[in-house]
This record gives sequence, C-alpha cells and structure tokens, in this order.
Amino acid sequence: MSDARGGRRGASTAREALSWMTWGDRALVVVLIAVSVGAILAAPKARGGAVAQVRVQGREAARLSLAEEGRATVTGPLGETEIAVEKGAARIVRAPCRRKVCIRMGAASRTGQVLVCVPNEVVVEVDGGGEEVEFDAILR
Amino acid sequence: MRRGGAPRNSVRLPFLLFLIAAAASLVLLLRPRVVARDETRVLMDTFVTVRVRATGKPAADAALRAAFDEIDRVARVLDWFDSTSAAGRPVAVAGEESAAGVGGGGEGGAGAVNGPPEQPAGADDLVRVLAVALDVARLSDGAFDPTIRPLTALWAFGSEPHVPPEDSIRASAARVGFRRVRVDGARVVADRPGVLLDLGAVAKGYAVDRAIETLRAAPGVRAGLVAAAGDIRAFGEGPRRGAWRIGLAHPRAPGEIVASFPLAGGAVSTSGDYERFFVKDGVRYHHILDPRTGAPARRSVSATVFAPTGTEADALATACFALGPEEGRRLLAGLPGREAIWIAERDGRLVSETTPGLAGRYAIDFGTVESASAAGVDP
Repeated sequence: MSDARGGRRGASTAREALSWMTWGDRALVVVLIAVSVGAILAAPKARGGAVAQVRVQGREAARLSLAEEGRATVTGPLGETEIAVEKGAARIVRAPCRRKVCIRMGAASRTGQVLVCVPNEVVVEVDGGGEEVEFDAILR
Repeated sequence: MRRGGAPRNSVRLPFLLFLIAAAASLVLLLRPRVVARDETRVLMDTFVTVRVRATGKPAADAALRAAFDEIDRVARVLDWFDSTSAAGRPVAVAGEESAAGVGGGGEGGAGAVNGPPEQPAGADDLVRVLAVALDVARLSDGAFDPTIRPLTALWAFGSEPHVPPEDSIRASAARVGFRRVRVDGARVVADRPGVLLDLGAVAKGYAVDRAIETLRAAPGVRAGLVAAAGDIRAFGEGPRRGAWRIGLAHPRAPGEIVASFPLAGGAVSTSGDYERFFVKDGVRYHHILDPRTGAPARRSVSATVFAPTGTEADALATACFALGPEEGRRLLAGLPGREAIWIAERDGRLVSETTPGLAGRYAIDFGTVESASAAGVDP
C-alpha cells in the first residue's frame, strides 16, 4: 500500500526501517549477508582455458587443465617427475634430480610460464586457453 | 515489536525477497558439489589417464585410487611376457593332465585342465579377454590373432631394429593360429602344445573396461573417463557440459589433431603405424603385424574403431588396421553399432575413410587429413 503523501521518501524510510528492526532482526540480516557472500565465494570458479603442457625429452607426455585439480607423473631418464595442479597453478612436486631446482621454481599459472627439470629433461609450460584444442583425452 | 511509524509494506517486501535469496544461497552452498579430479600414471608401458567427476574430493580420490589399482592388477595378471602367469605360459592342451600335479576338474571327455588344480590367478580375466579376442579373430578371418606371439617375438619391436629373414618369418607364422585355441567354460585350452598368446592388441582395452567398471561402482562417482593412449572409454557428463571431448592425433604430425568428437559412452580405440616402428632402406616397419603375412600390415596408416567396450574396440581396431578400409567395412557391416575411421595413404596423400553409419552416430569434426601430405616422413 503506497504512502498517501507520495514523493521520494527513501532516506527517511530506510532510517525508519532500521529503527523498526529489533536487535534480533539486525543480527539475522548480518548472518544472512555473510552466508550469501560465503556461497558466492564457494561457488565453482568459471573455467579458464589454460593448460599446463608437460614434455619429456621434447615429446609431449601429459596435459593438465589448470581449471581443475589434478596430477600427472611422467618418466624421464632419471626417473619419475610428478606435476600437480592446484588453485589454477601447476607445480613440480616430486623430482628425481639431485638439486630439486625445478621444485623450487614454484608455480606456473600464466601463459608462457615454464617450469623445467633439466637433469630429467622435463618441461612444464602453460599454454594459453585456445578453446578449440581443449580435449579431455587424445587418441594416439 | 514494531517501533516508529515506518510504512510496513515498503520495507517488508524487499526484506522478504532478501530472505528468500539468502536462503537460496544457503541451499546452494550446502549441496554436495561435484568435483573433477584426474591423474596420469605410466602403466602397461604407456601413459594412462583417469578422469573422474564425483561428489567431493575424498570420493574422487578414492575412485581414482581404486581405478589405478585395478589397472595395475590387470596388467600383472595379463602379462604375457611372464612365463609363470596364465597368459604367459603355453596354453594347456585339452584333455592332458597338468604336469604340476593332479589333473582334476573337467566333466566327461572334455577334461579341460589349465595348469595347477586351483584356478590360476587371473583366469577369469584371461578367459574374458580371450572370449572377445577369439570372436574378433574368427570374424576377421585371422586379420587379428591373439596367438601371434611367435611372430611378435621374432620381430621384437622395442629391441634392436631388424627385419627377420623370410624363412624365419614363415617358420614363426606356422606356429600361429587362433583356431587352435578355444574357451571351454572357465578355462582356455589348445588342441596342440606350444600355443603362445600375445595380448598386446587387446589387454589395454580390457584394462580400460575394468577401470571404468571400478569407477562406476565407486561411491559418489557421476562421470569418468579412462584413457590409455590409443584406448579410451567414458561415461557420464564431461567437465565441459555434455559429452567428453576426444581428439584423434594426426598420424604424421605429432601434436596435431586430425579429428575430434564427443564421447558420451562406450569406447574408442586406435591402432596406428606410428606408435612403434623403425625405418630401414626407406621402408617403415611398424609393430602391427598381419598374422597372415607375418610382416607389418600395409593397408592402413591408422584405424579407429568405436564399440561398446574397450576390449572389443581394441581388438577390432587391430583387425580393421590389418584389413584396410574395404575389407574392414565389410567386417563391421555385420556388427551393428560398431563404426570406424581409417586413415590411409593414396598417391602420397593421407585420406580418411569411414563406415557408412559413422556420421549418424558420432559427430566427427575432421581437420586437415584430406590435404595432409605423407611425404617427408620416411627418410
């Protein structure tokens, strides 16, 4: 039912609204806002197209999408290198080399970023999201 | 208790809507989220990738673990290089008692015995694989043959490249013959001694099948895909909404995709002349031998088959590779629901051929294969 006086009464209406609420009402509103924000933050992120391409001795050995968590283990001349994708970035988490420089290189998440294990001849490169070449599996 | 003279209606309605939106957010936040996880390991001499979509990370991880454990088990059980395994030793001869001890078993005259009295480990898996393999061998009239080990051992791809002399090839070919073997109930028997199995053209497809079954049975799993290089099977929705997206590698241009298609269910398998090969005097010798000639099959560059199971797709892909497009199409015409793509060489160019029903069942997007050149590959 509209106010007989008409016109813009937004500000005074809001103030009146706040004064109308009890402390219980205000607490409820705060909780509900918090929950809504939480739901938005917890929602799955939009998919990017970026992919981490893993090559061993120059030949492609694995591809990991950066949009999902995943792991891949590849074998080079020294043994197994394990790459993990978490929170949109790829990292080398396990390597057979002596100095573990590759592990200390940290995370690669942007196109062109590279992680390398020279002794085991493993290269992890982030490829831009070319949607046309996004496959779940490749038949060789 | 209301205070002040605020007009109730202009505040209540938006507040109510806000309450509803907040409640909806709460519901969305609390519903079980489907997460996608994947892992790749080296197994069965190739890269095996398992992808799963399940409700929650613990469920997804448990499913991945179970799937890889199963692939590992199948790999060990079907290891035809292990002379102590059921797959590795010569197939037991029907009616003969096992050298290891009491023959036992068998009803009536058939007396089928396969090794020691207790069921050898993995006999079930072996029987299942061979049932399909022998079927495909019969249907293809021997273009695919699971008893081909004497020939594959002679060529020994993976070791020093060499072309065996003609008489060695003939001698080994004489020891090959799928008609000497049959599945008798729960056992595998041969009609003569010395029959040796080579499951290389069917074991990966079977491992993929078992892994898929494991994923399906795992709690919380909504969708899954298992890929072992040339053998892939999937179920459920892929992560990109709709079916899983599969690409077919270009046989002469590594890294390029020659065809792509959605896979909603069922399996697909590719046999190609580019996986294991050597070139000698300008001729490519690859590892897919034609059992009837004892030498690498020459009619295809690659053959890709769609079938309900990985075991069948794997065996049919090998058969279709050896048969080539014309005879291969005749073979598949008698198998409704199975479709194929061949890539073959014609006048130095690569061309694709398919079964007539392919376009109606699978939306294939062909890339550059018609214009791809085969030149410059064999030095």
